[in-house]
This record gives sequence, C-alpha cells and structure tokens, in this order.
Amino acid sequence: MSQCIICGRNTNDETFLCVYHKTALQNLKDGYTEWKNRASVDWEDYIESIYNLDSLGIWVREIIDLLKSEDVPSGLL
Amino acid sequence: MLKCLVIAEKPTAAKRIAEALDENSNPSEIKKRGVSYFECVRNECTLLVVYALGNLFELKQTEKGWTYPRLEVEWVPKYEVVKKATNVKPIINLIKGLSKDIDTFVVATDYDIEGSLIGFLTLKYACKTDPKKARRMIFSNLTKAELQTSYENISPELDFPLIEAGWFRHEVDWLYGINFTRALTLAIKNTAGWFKIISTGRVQGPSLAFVAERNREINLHVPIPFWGLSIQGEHNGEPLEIEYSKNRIEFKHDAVNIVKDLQNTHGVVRSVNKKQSTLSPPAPFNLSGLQSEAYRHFGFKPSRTLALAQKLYLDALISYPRTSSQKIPESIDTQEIIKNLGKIKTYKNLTAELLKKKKLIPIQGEKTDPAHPAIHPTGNKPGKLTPSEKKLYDLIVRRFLALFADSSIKESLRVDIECGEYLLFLRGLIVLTQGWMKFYDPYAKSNERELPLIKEGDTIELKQISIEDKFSSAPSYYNPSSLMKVLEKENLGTKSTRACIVDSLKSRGYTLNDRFELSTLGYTTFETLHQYMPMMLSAEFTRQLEEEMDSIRFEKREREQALVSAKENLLELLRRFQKQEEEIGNALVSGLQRFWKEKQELGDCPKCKDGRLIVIKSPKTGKRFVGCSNYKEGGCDQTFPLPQKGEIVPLERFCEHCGYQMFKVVSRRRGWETCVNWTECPGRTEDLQALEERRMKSKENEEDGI
Repeated sequence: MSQCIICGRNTNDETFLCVYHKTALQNLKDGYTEWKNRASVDWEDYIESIYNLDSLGIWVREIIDLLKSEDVPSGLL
Repeated sequence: MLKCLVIAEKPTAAKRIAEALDENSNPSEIKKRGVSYFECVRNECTLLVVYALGNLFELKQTEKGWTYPRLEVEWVPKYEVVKKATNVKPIINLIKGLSKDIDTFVVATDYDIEGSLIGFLTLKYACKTDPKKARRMIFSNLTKAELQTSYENISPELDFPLIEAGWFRHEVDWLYGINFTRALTLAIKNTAGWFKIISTGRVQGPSLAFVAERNREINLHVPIPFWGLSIQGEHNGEPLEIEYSKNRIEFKHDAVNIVKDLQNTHGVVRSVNKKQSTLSPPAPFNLSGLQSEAYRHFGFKPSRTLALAQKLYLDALISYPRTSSQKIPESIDTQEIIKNLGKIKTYKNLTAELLKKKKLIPIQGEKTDPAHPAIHPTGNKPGKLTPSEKKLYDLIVRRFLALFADSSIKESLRVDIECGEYLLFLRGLIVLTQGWMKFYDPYAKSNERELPLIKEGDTIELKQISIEDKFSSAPSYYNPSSLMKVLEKENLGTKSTRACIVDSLKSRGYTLNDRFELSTLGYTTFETLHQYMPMMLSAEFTRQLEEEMDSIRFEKREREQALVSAKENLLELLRRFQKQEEEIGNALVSGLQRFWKEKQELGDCPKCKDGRLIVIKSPKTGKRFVGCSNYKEGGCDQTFPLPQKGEIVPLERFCEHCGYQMFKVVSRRRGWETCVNWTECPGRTEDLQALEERRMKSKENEEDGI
C-alpha cells in the first residue's frame, strides 16, 4: 500500500492519489469539458479562472497545485 | 400530620414548588451539610421539597476492566462514575435521611423522559421506596397557579412507560457509546501503544457522517460558469432595475448575442400582473423552531438557546422548553397571559391592540407533544435578565403575540416587457396589511420594493445592459442550527439531546469551527468507520433504536425484550470489529499521525525554502515557538515567536499583508487569528500595540492591587 502524494492517506491507486484526490482530478477534467463548451476556454485559462474562485473545492485546488509543481507524476492527466 | 416528600429536578424548581404549595407562600429553607431542602404546609400535610440536580444516578459496568464488550450495567450514585460530581453525595444522603418517615412520595421533576427517569431513580435508589406507590405532579410551567393546579390534580401513579423508554435510551446509549469508543481507542493502543480516546456513539456517528458527506461535496466542487444580465431601464425619467426572464444563461456566446440585440433598444409593457397573497402568522415555537430562529437572529448555538430557555423556564417566565409541540391548547388562559404581558412597558401597545379583538384564537402548528404545549410566555413580569436572556424572552413574547394577530397581506407585481424576441420582467412587492408582522417585528422582515405606476403599452427605455459572470456554488457548510434540523428531519436523537450531540463534534476535535469544517481527526474517524463499521454511521440503524424506544413508550414492547435484541446486535458488531481490529488500528494510527503533523505545521520555511515551519516546545524554558524542521539536519535557524496561551490551529490561508500562513489561537471560548510573522507583519502593528497596552494595563492593575 502506498500513500497519496498530496495528503498522505493510504491508497492502492497507481496514480498515487487517495480516493478524494482521485475524484477531485476527475471533477477537474469533467469541469474542463463544461467550461470549454460554455466559455470556449483552453486548459490554461480554465485552470487560472477556477483557481481564483473562492468556491473551488480545496481538494481540487490541491490537485491544481500538484499539476503546477515539478513533482507531478507522469500520466496524471 | 402527614409527611410528604416532593422530588424536584433542580434547586430553583424546588424553591418555586415550595413557594407555590405553601399555604403562606413562605416555605422555610432548611440547610444541612452544604445542601438544603424546603419545608412547607398544605392541606394539613407537611411537604418536604428536595431537589435532584439532574441525574443523581448513572450506569456503571458490573464487570471490571477498561475493555469491551461490556454489556451488563447497574445504576450507581453519580459520584462513583463521574469523579467531579462530589456535590451529589450530600444530596443523596439528605434524601435518604428524610425518606425514613415519609407517608407519601411525589415526583415533581420535568414531565419528559429524562425527568421521569430522574424521579424514578431517586425514589428507587435514594428514597429506597417502591416507585409504584409514588404520585406524579404534571406541569408545563413553574407559575404558582400551574403548580397548585398540578398538586390538586395529582396523578396517582408515575408514567412507567415513559420511565422504561428513558431507561432503555440511557442503557443503549451507554452500551453503544462506551463499547465502540473503547473498541476504537484500544485498536490504536494495540497497534501503536498510544492512548488517544476516539469517541463515537449511537447518534454521534451518523451526525459525523452528515458533516463528512457535506465537506466532501464542498471540497470536490468545481465551479461551472453561467451568465446573467444586469439591465438598467427608465420609465418617465425614473430608473428601473429590470430582469431577463431567464436567470441562467448557459453559454457565453448566447449572453453576448442577447446583449448585442438589446443594446440601444426599448421594450413595451405587455402586461401588468398584480397578485395578492395572504401570509398566516408563523406557528408557535417548539424547541427546534426556537433554536433555529435564535440562531438566525442572534447567532445563538442551539445548546446556548436551550440553556437560556431553561433559565427562563426556571424563572417561571416561559413554559417548559423541551417540547416538540407547535400547539397552544385551549386550556391555557391566553387572554390572561396577554393582559399580564401588557404590564410590561415594551409590549403595552401591542397587547392593547390584541385585547381589542372579540376573540383571541392563536394559530396552531402541525407538530404535537403529548406532554407539553408549545413554548409560550407565562405572563410573569421578568426581573433582571442578562442581555442574552432578554433577547430570547423578547423573541418568545413577540412570537406568542403574533399568533393571535391577523394575516399579513402582500401584493406582488410583475410587469412583462417585450423587447423583440426577448421577455424582460420588472418585479415589485408591497405590504398592504402588516398583520402579525407588526407584532413579530423586528424578527419578520419583508423585502418591499415599490414600483412606479406602469401600464400596458408603456415604453421602457433600456439604458445599460451588461453581462454578469456567475458560477455554480458548492453547498454551504453546516452550522449548528442547520445540522440540528437535519438530525430532527432524520428523527435522530431527541429534542433534548441534539444540541449536545452537535456540540460534541467540535469538543471531540472532529470539526474545526462552528462552520463544521471537518478536521483530519474527523476524517480519520469517519473514513475508518465507513470502511470497517459502516453500521456505526448509519442513520437507519440508529433510527431503528429510536423506534424501539417509542414502542416501549407506547407499551408495544417490553424494555427487557428490546434490550436483549439491542445487546445481541451490539455483540455481533463488536465481534466483527475484533476480527478487523488490526486493520482499523492501522487506519486510525495513520490518520492520527497526519492529524498531529498538520496541527504542528505552519507552512514552508521562508529562509531555507526546503524545511517546514513547525511548532516546537523549548525543553529549557517550556515555551513554544515556531522553528524550521531543517534545524537539526540543515542548520536552518529560522524562528518566530508564538503566543504562549491557547491552542494553535493552523489555517489554510495566508496573510494578506505579508503572505505568511495564518493560524488561530483558541483560548477558552474565544479565538483570534493572526499570521506566523505576527510580530513583524506590517498589517498587525496596531494589534501589537493594543496587546502591549493591555499588558501594561494589567501590570498596572496588579501593582495597584486591583
């Protein structure tokens, strides 16, 4: 068993994310589909826009921080 | 002369009962070894009124050992279980002594499950008498008239089904709470050797699950955009705020196109729709209604509202507050209460207006309670009240007066404006008749919005149109009031216990604040139970136990029978727990490690950029400060001072002035927020000055001997 690279929770997942952060990553991807359809934005604009919103969930914010960092595991997206 | 022992629930209630029942309204208070009782005379009978200080007896396991399962219990004096309850012993001794030559025993505790059980246990274990021979005073407020009527119409026997239901609840709560708390705690101890109490309970588990589920939704939320329009119009020179008929535009290009189409155009009024609506007065207060309204208007936590209402009840100012009822029965002399309230200056005009009515009929709510009416004032004039008591009393009085008032009548207006292919709205609202809202002021507010005179065919100029970016929002965190409402809706806990359960989530460290943000400890407990013992989080499971309690209360089931099946279920759950103890222990230990680490960490080190700032306690001075985790290995000597009093709670925010991590210092009930760099932070110089001034002042006071 390994640990989530964000919060340290135990996980068996190959992405090294716990169940919460894995769902947060999925929600982030699903959100992009919606934003692209509704506002015609690209990925970078999408990330910048939602990162500045207070209502963004903290686990999703932590996923964005991970994606922005140098430690991002390959194949996460 | 006959001798009768009357058992009240609290000292204030005992005094009121003695004053009401004494023929001269002047009972004598007899003090013995730090406790007292009241002696009075009525109908050639000497009444000795004693009090019980809540429960004098508690459940205790019969087998020894801090382990599980422990299924057999007995009632023992409270001081044998709760070490701090030293004040209970002299009371039990006093009651024991007085009970030796008593002819009749009367229970005059609050008429509810808890009160009935208190009376029964006091009779059985302190008075050592047969509870079947005792009589029961039933009352809903502590006014003289009510207590005298209750004594004259005394019930010849105790309400045994209510007592049995209370006994069942106590025992089941003890069994589930103690056994599972020990199971979780011992799982940690057997895994890591640490002793850290992890508590759960029959209602606490499902409450934690509600909070965790809500937190999960909030933490996983990705805001999705949509758009709205802000339209400023004009009619005969008067500015108007106009709405687009759809308040949600899904695609940005649609919003842009609509704005283009509407720019520099005008609309024509197609119809003006007026609608009158009648709004009846709100229902009388039951406890949850009062708690919810007190939270909304004053920010009182439900437990605080209950405590304040209990105080007002003991002062005979309001009726018994632990009620589910939203009904004011005909037997209550409401006219007399209103007349008496008129003697209070604040309510003089309002009561005078009500008393002009030919008939005073209160509005009734739907919920009932067989034992007590809805919460209402007694009409007694209040003495000196604290500001909080005053606020709650005023809320109760005004709500009561509003029950007798006429409905309020509002007129809403919607003007439909056609603008090409688009439909726009203009809305207004006026109150035609204030009705009950006048009596419930300032707690009833209507968002009035008057419109100018507009008729069909009029032209409305569209002056300014802009697009508003909007985003879907996550659900709100629970607050004490909204969590209480969920528990009530799910029929979990009782009106008396819910407020304590809500508070316990914070006191156990499962939530961080009154917004019910779950702590890592809360997540750990929830996740572990969810994975290994989901039954302990199940609302359905605990609801079944509540239903068992109701069936005992309504004599459909025997307590012993229900207890046997509750114990069998519990034993099965505990066996399952034992089989997985190691895995559960590991999960809890790993979560606790994260919890403690988070509690210590205050962000990245600004100096070496590699270490983390952590709370350190100096082994020399015992004082705490912030230091770098790289001190030993990397030699980083970055430090920051910390306040020495209160608990340090790291926050997930950074200082707006200097960018350092924020933390909260929680000391007793108060908490204040600051940043790691608080002594140097440019935005906190005033705070620091104020702190210095407070220190100087307290030093001066000390020197002056104040």
